[in-house]
Amino acid sequence: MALIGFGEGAWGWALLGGALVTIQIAFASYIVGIGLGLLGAWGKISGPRWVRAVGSGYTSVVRGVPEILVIFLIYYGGTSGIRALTGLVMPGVNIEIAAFPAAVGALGFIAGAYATEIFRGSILAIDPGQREAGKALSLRPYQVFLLIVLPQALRLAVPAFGNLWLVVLKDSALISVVGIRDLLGVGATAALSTRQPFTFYTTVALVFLVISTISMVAFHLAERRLGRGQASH
Amino acid sequence: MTMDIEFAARIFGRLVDGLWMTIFIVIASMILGNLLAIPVALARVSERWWLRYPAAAYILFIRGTPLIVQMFMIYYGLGQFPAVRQSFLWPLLRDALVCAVLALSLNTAGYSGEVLRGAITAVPKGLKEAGTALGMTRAKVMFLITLPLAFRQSLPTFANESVLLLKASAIVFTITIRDIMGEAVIIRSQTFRTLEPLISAALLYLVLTFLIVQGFSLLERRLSVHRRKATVTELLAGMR
Repeated sequence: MALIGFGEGAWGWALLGGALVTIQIAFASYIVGIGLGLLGAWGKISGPRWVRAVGSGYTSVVRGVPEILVIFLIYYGGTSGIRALTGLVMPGVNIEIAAFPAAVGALGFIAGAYATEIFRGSILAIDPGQREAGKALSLRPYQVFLLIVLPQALRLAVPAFGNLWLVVLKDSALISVVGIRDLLGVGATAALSTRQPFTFYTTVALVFLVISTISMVAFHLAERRLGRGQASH
Repeated sequence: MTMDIEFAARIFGRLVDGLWMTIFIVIASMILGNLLAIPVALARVSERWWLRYPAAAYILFIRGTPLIVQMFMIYYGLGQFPAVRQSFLWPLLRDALVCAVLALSLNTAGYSGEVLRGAITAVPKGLKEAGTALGMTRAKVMFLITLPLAFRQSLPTFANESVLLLKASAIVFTITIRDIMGEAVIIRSQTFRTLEPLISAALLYLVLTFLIVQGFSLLERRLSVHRRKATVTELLAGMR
């Protein structure tokens, strides 16, 4: 147990640092995912036919292929692809893609597919009358979307986005497999060097549990606050 | 960054070796996990607090922590205890495949247990009361009325859970198992090519996902025959 503390030879600070990396990666991926989701939902709802096809391809492939595989593809395939591209444009220049953005790109790409479906569902759930009312007030299409549809859709989507955050947080642990020193990465090193794997993996699990429990409470509060003025159900 | 189709075709055979491993792991964990989900759900809705709280804690732990950490706790972690290493179970717990199926099953039990709990509470009270009125014991009401209805109610969710289980199973390569992902990773490290093995593996997973979705929608249609209108052919078949 002394190994978990913060004193000499203990792993407390290292684990805390790892937890910070996990939270940063998960949060950045979540934001990237939400951005991609908005884009994807817009494309799938009102894009031209080929955009819609790309959108459906994106969501069904990501939702049907293991996360770890997508991470490997983007992390290794994507970096070698970018290197090949820069090699074409600027021969002899060898670009190193930092681990952090590559990890965020991979996790964000996955989260984006789920966010697309969430946005699409909640946007389509808004009564068309709302849109028509906006048009009758001679608002422009983007105004109708930003001022009328999106605020209502967001409120509907809050529970699903709470769920998505928990999924992204847990998926972020997979990133340690490609060698990033996140919470699980640090925990694995500690497990190996102290020969106390159960102690450290359990600690890692408990830290994840604390983060997800706090997030659940936060989202629950947000949901309640956003639900003010709504008929209770 | 180009795909070599010929090379992809050559490695496909090795990926298919991994396919059987993936199928075995998913089916074994699906059966074990969903069987375990029944006691978890029953404990979760129990009136006794000493059953209800542990079940709630179990579900919280499973759903609040990454599966890969749970699997490492079992595969790498359990050996830390001399009591485990000296027990008769050690030959089993030392085996990566056993640990993989165990981790995926315990995980499925947590998620499905929560789904089943929701479905159990959603079964109309009147149906249970009708069972009691017919002189059924509480156990009979549970196993003949509530659980079958709850199971059918949660079928669409189970279809989803099964796809998630298939996708989750790809992490077992981290504990040395050669499933589809495992073979792809080995080919990658042997040939230094990333796209061909990974994209071929992705195609295999997509096919499996499709099969699971189709299979469950077939099962759902069969189990809810009474809810839809019979087609003319079925009516004719019934008349004969």
